[in-house]
Amino acid sequence: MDILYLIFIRPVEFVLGFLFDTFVGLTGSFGLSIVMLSLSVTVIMFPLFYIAEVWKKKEQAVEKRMKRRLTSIKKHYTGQKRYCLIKATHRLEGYTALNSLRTSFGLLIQIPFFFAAYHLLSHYEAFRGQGWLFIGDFSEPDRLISGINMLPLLMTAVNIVSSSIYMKGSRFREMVEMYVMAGVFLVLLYNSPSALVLYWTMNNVFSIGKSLIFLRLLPREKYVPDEDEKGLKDYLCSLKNTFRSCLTADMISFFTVVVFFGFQCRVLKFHKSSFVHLYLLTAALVFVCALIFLFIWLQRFRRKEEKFMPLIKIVAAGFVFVAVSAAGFCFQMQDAGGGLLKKLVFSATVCADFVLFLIIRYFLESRSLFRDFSGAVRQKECSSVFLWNILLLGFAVTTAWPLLVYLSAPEETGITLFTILQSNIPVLAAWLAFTLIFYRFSGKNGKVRLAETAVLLSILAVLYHYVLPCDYGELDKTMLNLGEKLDNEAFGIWLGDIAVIAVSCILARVCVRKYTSFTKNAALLLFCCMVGMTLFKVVGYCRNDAVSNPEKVTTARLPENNHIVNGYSKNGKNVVLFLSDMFTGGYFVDVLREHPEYEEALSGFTWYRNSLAPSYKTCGSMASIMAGEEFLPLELNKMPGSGREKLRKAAEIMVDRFKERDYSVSIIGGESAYLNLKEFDGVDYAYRYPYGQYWKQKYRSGEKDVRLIDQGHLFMMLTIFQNAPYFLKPIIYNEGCWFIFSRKALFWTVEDHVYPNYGFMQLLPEISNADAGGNTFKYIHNSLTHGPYGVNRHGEVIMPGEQPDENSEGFYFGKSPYYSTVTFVEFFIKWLDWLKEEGIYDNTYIILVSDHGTNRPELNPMTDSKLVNRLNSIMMIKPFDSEGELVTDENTLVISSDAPEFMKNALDGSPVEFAADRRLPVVRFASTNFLDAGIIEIIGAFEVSGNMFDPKNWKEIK
Amino acid sequence: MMENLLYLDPGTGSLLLYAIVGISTTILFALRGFWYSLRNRLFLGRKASVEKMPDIVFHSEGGKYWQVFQPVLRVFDSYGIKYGFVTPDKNDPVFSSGLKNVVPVCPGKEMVTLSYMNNIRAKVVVSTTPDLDVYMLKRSRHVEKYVHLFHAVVDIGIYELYAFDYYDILLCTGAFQKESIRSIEKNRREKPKELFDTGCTYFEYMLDEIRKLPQQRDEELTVLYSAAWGERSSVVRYGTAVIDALTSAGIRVIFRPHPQMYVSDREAIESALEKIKGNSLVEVDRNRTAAESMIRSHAMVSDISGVIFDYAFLFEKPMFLVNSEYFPGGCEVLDVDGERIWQFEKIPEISRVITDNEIPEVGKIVKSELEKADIYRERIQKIKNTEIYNFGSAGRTAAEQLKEILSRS
Repeated sequence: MDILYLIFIRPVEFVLGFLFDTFVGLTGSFGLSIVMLSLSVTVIMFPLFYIAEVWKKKEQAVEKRMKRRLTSIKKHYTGQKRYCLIKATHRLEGYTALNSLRTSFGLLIQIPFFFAAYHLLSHYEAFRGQGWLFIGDFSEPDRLISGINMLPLLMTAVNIVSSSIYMKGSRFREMVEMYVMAGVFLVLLYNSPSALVLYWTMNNVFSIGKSLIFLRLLPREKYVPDEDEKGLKDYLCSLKNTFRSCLTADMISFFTVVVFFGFQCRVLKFHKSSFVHLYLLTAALVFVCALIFLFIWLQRFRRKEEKFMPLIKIVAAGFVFVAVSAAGFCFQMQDAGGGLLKKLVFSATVCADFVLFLIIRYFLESRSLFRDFSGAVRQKECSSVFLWNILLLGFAVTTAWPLLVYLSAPEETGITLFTILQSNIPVLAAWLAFTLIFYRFSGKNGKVRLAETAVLLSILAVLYHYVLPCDYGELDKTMLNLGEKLDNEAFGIWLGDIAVIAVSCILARVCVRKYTSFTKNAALLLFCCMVGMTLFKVVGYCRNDAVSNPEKVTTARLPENNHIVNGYSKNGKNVVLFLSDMFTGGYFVDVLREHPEYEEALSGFTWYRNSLAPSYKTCGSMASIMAGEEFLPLELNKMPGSGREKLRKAAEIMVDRFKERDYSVSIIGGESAYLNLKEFDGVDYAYRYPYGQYWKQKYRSGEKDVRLIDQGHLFMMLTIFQNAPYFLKPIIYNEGCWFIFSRKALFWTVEDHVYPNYGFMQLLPEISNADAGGNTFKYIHNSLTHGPYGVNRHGEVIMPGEQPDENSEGFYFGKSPYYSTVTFVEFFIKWLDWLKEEGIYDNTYIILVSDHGTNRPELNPMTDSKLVNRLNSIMMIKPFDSEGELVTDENTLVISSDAPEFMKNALDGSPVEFAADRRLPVVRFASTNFLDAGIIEIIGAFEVSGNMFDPKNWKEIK
Repeated sequence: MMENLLYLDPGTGSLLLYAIVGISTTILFALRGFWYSLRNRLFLGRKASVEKMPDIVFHSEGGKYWQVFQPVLRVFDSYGIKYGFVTPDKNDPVFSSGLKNVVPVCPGKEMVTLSYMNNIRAKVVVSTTPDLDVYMLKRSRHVEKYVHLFHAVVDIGIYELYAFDYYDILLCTGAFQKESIRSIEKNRREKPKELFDTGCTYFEYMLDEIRKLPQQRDEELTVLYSAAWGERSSVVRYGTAVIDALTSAGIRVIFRPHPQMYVSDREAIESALEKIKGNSLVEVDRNRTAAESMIRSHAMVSDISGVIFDYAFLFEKPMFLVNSEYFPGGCEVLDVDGERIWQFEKIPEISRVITDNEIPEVGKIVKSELEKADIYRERIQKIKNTEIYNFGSAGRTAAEQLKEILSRS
């Protein structure tokens, strides 16, 4: 791309830049210069546009000659014959693949100018703060009237006028396309900087003149519509007919039930306590409907108009409903937790809805209401439509999209690419086998309906994935970072879902019945694209040596360099930066209340209670913890490079600081996703996983390790979640729990996370030694305090089937974050005891810090705000030779990025002082591809001063 | 990259859309072509090795086309010029024809023969296969002239598109064909082809065949019901309604469905045969030619097809046309001025058109129209003598014309 840029765009950009600077020099006005630049570009390009227009006219003449024959060929021939005849038509008229490029010449010559203008005007630093006429700032959208950007609207208006002149007398379809495209570009350009929009608005103004000249030089032939050409009336009529043909019994009953189902899902989500009432209501409804059905059926049966089949169908569906319900209530008697019960009740309501669907359809059909008049579908083509859509859906949901999620951050998952394939390919095979067998044994009408359903699901998946994507944050173990957004979804979302499903139903029906061949080809094409894209990504991943594979050790041995990385010096100095991931500072209040003895155990420590985290996530906070305020999130966004590069730079600053003073540096448990430890010369490092394996062998031997397979399913569930209508999302994912994801597999995910972190902390006194010489610096990153939580109230790792908090379901809820925090502190103190025993406590400088808090403010006695809780970190410092009970500093406002100040203090005794009126910037952000793109997508930035737990002290920064 | 693309000038938005659609359609079209060529190479047969052939080669699609070639070859053979004859049919009558100067070759089945023809070396190739260089039969780089020999009296307009665009010479059966060809050439801006006034050679063969058969018409009133295949077929459209109407009027019916019906319209033909099973007034003809049935019958009921002119010109008996509303789609007529098709204009002159409503009455109509047999005969003779070239001597004419073409090459 760089070469292309240098060859095609850079020279044009240079010329434009020269012109622009000259105009600025001449006029002294940016606005006037932009207008003059636009005029110059139009004038310079006029001859090229003229050639393009002449070529276009020639091509249009050829296309016109071919049109009649091509239309007839497409109507009367299929397959190879069609291909051969089209090819012969092209050949006879001398039409080659180059012709389509020639038609696009007008576009191709503009592309270098587009990019050049974009590069020039969007990176023009001098625009900042400069305005012209009604434009306030050229580098920002104009926000002229009540925050609405007027320039893009003006640009669209001019565009429509310009295009209307240019396309005067064109076909109705072309005019509609033009208006649609103008609308699309309005949306896309709406938030662009004013300079760019002004430039393109002026381009459109000048193009009006250009169009008028062309119309004079190259007069258009008088447009005569073809006999079979459609106008607005025909389109409206065809739309009406399409809609009418979709008003069939099965469509109406299906849609009614979907609306009802959406309502049920909302009740299950927002009125959790009344889900049994919902079930009872549904059951009553089914019962009444069943009676009506029985009454109608009996009447018809007596008149010999009906057979047994409908009765059998409904009784069978009813039986399943009763069986699932019974299972649900039996379970309720055995388990007070209620999670599975809810799922069973949900399943029962699904069955009930199916019974309702059958009954409503039967009722409508028996009354001859909304009969199906649409034409028959050719079986062979219908089967192809079904096959390709099923394949497309299966491949997308089980393979393509999960792999894309995985490949966005493979190191964070702890599993390999092969594991994903190994776990999801069997699901794909089962899906294909089940659906194809079901299709094979369905009746003629059933097959058409199945094809319609497959197309409907494909449309919905594509729509929800690409057009209406959700953003509930990234997957953090099994939990979605912004999962709580599901609790606040507005009622309108449900209505929106219903509208989307209704339109998709109609589309699916029209696709299968009217455009069968097109639908088949579209699904095939999408499938091929998806396979191609997946292969491209996978091959790219496999080739990229820079991406390190997850460091997973299957043998239960301590790392070979354990003696070095956990070695402390008796005679020299030891500095330890302990990063406890997701440790919420406020939780420590209750830890101390429960364990007052820790105050003595933490002798020499100062706990800063008023402690902020720089951001919501590790990737946003870590750099500043290592290298200071210059690496705070807002500053990170200003730096060039990827997130990994920025983190590496920060780590290098920290490491070099110690190496320069002859410290031997060790990094233990650094998150491999963030830091590639192999890249640091002269640094000893060890990952956490071997310690987990070692701990497991010691304390949990005999367990079979087959869990990885199930972890792959999590990515599939995430894909299903992303592609489902919004009303279904809370059912699929609910606060860290996934609907169709076995508890066992969930446990394994938890186990995979807890063992290395818990194991390392418990083993710490055992694996540490005091044999090192000289000075040592340790950077220890531990995530025991990070969810999913797998430690119970006794400080033990949970067993399969056990919940960390027996009173609540899941691995994030109840008091589980607190139990893990207490356990961490307990292990931390045991390690401090070891330091004391070895006599190296006094010559060890310890900085305990966290990068962000949890999403659970209810466990934080200091705040009930989610925002404050998430940005409340722990900060405890023990300088050299510090003595006495734990000191709590309640007032000084600190931030985790102060850690480097303490490190400097440890290194050269430079004082650490904090001003009383500190104003500290913190940010909230959601999903991000920071590691690759290097930009944190900030949702909210705040400036905090004084007592961080007082909401008044939080000022939002624009 | 994508982010930058969003900043394209909205004025060229639809151009961008066209460019994307155009380029992706081109790519898809090329992929489709690649797939077909791959499939043809993989599954449809081996490539034939081409032997050295004489300067003129006749290409036949199989034994059933012998009736078109035989009247030409029996004269051409007498010139003492060696000529090739390529056929995919190893039982083609050419092998037992006793012609002296013929070099008959059967390279293999259809696809192998086509591959053979696509690489053949000769000055002139004479073929009855339309759509040269459009479908599987390609122009060989080693051939100077391709000559088309028509195998029926049908207008050009009814052929599939580009049926003759890549032929150099056409041996036309009537002036109506020449008109259509010139019209197409004009509308497609093509170089004019060489057109010869030849005639339909196959009538001579048929006349010889008929002479060999006993010239006995059935005593009872017998109607030959000759049904076409595909969308033109009255059996596909009406089932056995025509047969039922005829037999209910006490008329004997010889039912001769087009052989292709057994392949393409299996469901319709099987259902029809099942229905007429046991009807003593109906017999089904599956002979190689319809000559015997044509002799035996007093009249013919037919759909629009070439058989009408066979019956008319060879026997001059009355004919009845059902399912007459058919008009071909995707055919050469698209580029014929006025979209005229000669036989669609002539058939109503020489036959009685039966409308849909009249089908139940077809028996009665046949009986009454038979009384006007002489009027029909006169009309048929007029067309035969004025609009068809060289009726009864087209084979000789064609042979002479080919000799001339060869001598020029």
